[in-house]
Amino acid sequence: MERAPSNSGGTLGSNTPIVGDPAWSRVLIVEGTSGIGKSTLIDQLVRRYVADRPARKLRTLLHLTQAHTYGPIAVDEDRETLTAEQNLRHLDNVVSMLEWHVSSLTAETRIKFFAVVDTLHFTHCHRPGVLNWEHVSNLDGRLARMGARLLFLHGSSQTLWERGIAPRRDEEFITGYACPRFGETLEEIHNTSSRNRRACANDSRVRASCTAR
Amino acid sequence: MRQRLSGTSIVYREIDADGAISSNLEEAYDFWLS
Repeated sequence: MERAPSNSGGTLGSNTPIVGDPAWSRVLIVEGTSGIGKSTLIDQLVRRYVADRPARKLRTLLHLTQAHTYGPIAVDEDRETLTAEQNLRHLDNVVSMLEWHVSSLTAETRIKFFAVVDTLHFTHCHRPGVLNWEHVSNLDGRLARMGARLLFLHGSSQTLWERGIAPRRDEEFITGYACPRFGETLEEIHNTSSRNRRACANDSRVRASCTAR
Repeated sequence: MRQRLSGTSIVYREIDADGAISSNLEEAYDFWLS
């Protein structure tokens, strides 16, 4: 088997671990307010990837839903007991797990790891809201070093209502999650989501430095 | 266009969810795998 170029920073027998080249991984983090269409887009991305692959050529494919990225902190969020340390520890666990997948590819010459993550540190700076950008800057640097990319989905308040709330009035997202967290009625849920949408969009605009690569 | 968020390192892109879902998929797929 052809081996990857020796840019991995270590040799067998030394104390320096061999680390896989990030070139052989593709990690995408999808961010945006609840109901804007993240899950729909991710569902289509994963199905498209599988459909595009030839038979017997599926590579390591990781799809982290909010059950893993947000769920573990939701209980303490609801109890209003969540601390910044708890939130950071959870994010560190997720980032460390992604790092393992990337760094393990020490003998590859092609892309072998594909990951899609439904919300991470960007969302956590807005909701639950115990973290800020200073808290997560180190995690952001680790994600950047593994070549991860952040996709921010933004849209109008009308789109949020038409695609994210009204059609899902009888689905678990509304009946079991958004109500009563975001409000008791669809209109209240929409108002809360719209405020969160504006806050995220404003933050992304402020932070976007428009340095094209 | 790829962008960076001020004070952060990660490569970043915005997609307009008001647009057609099919075109959003194409852009997101390309951004993920390119």
